[in-house]
Amino acid sequence: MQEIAQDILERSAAGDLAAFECLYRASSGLVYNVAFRIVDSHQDAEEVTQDVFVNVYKNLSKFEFRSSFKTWIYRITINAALNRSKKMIKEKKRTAVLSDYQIDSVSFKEQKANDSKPDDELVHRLLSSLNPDQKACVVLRNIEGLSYEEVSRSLNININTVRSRLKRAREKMGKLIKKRGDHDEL
Amino acid sequence: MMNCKSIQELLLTDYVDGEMSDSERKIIDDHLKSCQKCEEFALLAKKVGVDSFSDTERVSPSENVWQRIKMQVSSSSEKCNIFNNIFSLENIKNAFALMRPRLVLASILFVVLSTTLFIKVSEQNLALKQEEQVVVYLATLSEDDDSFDEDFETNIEKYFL
Repeated sequence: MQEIAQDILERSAAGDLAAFECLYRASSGLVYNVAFRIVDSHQDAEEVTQDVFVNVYKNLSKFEFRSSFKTWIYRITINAALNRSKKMIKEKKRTAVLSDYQIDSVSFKEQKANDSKPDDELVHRLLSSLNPDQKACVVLRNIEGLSYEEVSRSLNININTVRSRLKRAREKMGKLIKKRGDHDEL
Repeated sequence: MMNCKSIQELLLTDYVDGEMSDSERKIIDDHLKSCQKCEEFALLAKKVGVDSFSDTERVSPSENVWQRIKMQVSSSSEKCNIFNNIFSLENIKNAFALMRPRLVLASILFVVLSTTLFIKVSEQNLALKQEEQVVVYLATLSEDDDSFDEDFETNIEKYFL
């Protein structure tokens, strides 16, 4: 995410829509990517992005600049995406007409329509094997490239918790990759 | 001296994420030179922790998203502006200026009425309290009656009895 000028933040906080659009253009990619990797659906990622920026618009005047704007917006995005993800899981359980495998294929097909890279298939499968907390850490560390300290501040958790969630996530993903490797060899 | 388990934990986290100092990294590297198991583990950790995500495509939201956000924040801004316009400092000052004589009169009447009511209520309460005291006094008198009738222990009564 490109650095956002203080002036843009202040004018956006004051309700200047043109400044807010600049802020949106500078940070929407980050928000959308994080949201997409957590909710695993373009439609839901767009709704999360919309919610995040409406939230930012309403609350920017209260943002006291104690943390960086980047950390703040990551935190809002992760919370919004995880809430949406939990809602979707509850919805799936409630309307369990399709089996887990079919539901997984449905969301994956929607993704495939837009993303044709084979690497994305692997990323999708790896992230799907994780719980929401582990997924959030992996997305911020591996995809967004945040340091442990930045992940810790964005998720508001201890740095050792970041470490342990990443370790468990990678153990799970490692088993999956190994299984895939054995399967490919066969 | 670190054991393989500790080394492998670090390989999965700090080592592969570049969170180690050069000296710490050297300790791990030296161990990997002499431990094949940990060396294989390091390769898998790199595949999982780095390589699998290195070419992840970055996606962008459609333009519709911005249009929807703009619509939503604009309509909430309009409502806010209407509210602010009605309750602006200017409007409040004007309202007071217009209403001032009537407001002053109404305030005076209110104070007078409240005071009068308060005094009346206080007087009533006082009267009630006094009545209660009389009742209590009379009640205690009737209780004492028997003992008074039986108590003849004045000097004169004693003399005659």
